[in-house]
Amino acid sequence: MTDVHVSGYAVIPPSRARADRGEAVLTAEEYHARALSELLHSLGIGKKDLDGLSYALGINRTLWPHALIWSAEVAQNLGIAPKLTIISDHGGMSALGLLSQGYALIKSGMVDHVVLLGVDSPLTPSKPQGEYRLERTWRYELNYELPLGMIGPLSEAALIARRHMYEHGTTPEQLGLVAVSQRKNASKNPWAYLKQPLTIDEYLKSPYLAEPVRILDAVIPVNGGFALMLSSSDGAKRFTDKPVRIEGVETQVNSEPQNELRDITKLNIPSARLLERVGVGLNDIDFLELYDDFTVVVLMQLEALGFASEGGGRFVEKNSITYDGDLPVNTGGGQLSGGQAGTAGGFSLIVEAIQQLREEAGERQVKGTTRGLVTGLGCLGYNHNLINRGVALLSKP
Amino acid sequence: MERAGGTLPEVDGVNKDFFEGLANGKLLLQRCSECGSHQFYPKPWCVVCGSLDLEWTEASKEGKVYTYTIINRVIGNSKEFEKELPYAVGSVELEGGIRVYARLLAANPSSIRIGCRVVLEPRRLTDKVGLPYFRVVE
Ligand SMILES: [Zn+2]
Repeated sequence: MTDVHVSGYAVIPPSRARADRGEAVLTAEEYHARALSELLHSLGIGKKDLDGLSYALGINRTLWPHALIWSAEVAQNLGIAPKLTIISDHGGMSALGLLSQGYALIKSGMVDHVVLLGVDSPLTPSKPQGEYRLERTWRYELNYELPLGMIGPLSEAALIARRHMYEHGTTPEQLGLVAVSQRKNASKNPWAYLKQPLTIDEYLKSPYLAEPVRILDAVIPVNGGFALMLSSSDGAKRFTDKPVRIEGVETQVNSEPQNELRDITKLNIPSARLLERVGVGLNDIDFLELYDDFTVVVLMQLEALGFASEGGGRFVEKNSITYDGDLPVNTGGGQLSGGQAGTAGGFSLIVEAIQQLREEAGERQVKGTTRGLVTGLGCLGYNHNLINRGVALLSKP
Repeated sequence: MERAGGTLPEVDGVNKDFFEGLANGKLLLQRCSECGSHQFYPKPWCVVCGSLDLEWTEASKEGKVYTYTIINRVIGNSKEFEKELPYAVGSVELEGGIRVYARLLAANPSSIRIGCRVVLEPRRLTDKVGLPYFRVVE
């Protein structure tokens, strides 16, 4: 069976759709076109060359509602004819979900390549069309959360963070260290949305949205677009001399379904079975790109992966997690500083890992890196945490 | 659906008894007739054993705060809730370990702690719909 490689990538810089500040105001459809254009350019091919390939197209479902039968509309807009389309509704795990499905399609021999377009434009148009939320949300949120006055992911994350403080003694300063470290990484990333330096004092002065979650504990929503080209070993050779190998992907949907009695601060990522299958240990991983919708979720993953048995909070106190630190985490600033492009936000973490492994990360380049681990987490379950969980290992070939 | 003062749940065949129970002062949970598991929120079958045979049982009126948050800003919900800011919502652990999200009533929300004892004090919206509110008693 062939190996699967990422043979090319593209990033369309994030925007808050502030025309008054000269920012781009683009729809999801425009991001699709720009991301694909940029991807083809990076591969050194034109649209006609793409038409000649055996490939599938993968897209994420966006926060603004689109057609029920959407992937063919996207293909029609772009004038492309993929053999097959895959579409992910995994929320924050969408990028990992698509990577996993694309990997399987190439491994199976069904296609030689998979084009993944990860885009979302939650801020365009800026006026909500729905009642309170962009998307039609979960019935359990409509019925058992919103009538109580809960405010969606922010309040769900606050419940988790409060319990994490109780279980692990996590302090506001420790949560702040995640935000501050990632901002330092973002300051060296040309496509991060927030680049200005951040101090712990500024973090502690930032207002609560749902105590103990402050505004700086949460991602900043942006519009944005990403593209990835996945290729078989032979296919990748045509496009690049710097392919990034996908060593393996693992996902789990609705993890630990009997959730009522569980510890909501435990976030068991299916990393152990991935590491075992690929045959690498924690020491073989040079950097982490951890899904970061909230600061506490980064701490929970450091614990779950096995890096922080003393608790994620104490770990970030004792160890630097900046790009030049002991254990580089979210080397491009993650979504906390880079911006979260809706359900495509997870693509930013994969793209950052690819830039690191191609040694194209400029000033934030992790020295001597050969392997990175990327996670994707989605769907805040009822009385639970993020129940869709994906993890991938990427390496130099 | 919006009402004066907030957002109404979407009542259906699976959750009707739960909301009606609260309108009548009772917190009802689903119990599986085959394996005896309790579950919340209401679901169309037992998530432990897959039985369709579920019955309603009344939960104890007391519980403990498993976790909580104080809402400081209304985002993505009805602006009507702004009149009540700041307010506390939390996960109440009932006897047997089932947890239910609820509004937590306290004279001073910042006095709430994990482990606080709470007593059911449902908010009745209509004859058919009540919401899980608990009063913090220690
Ligand atoms: Zn059962």
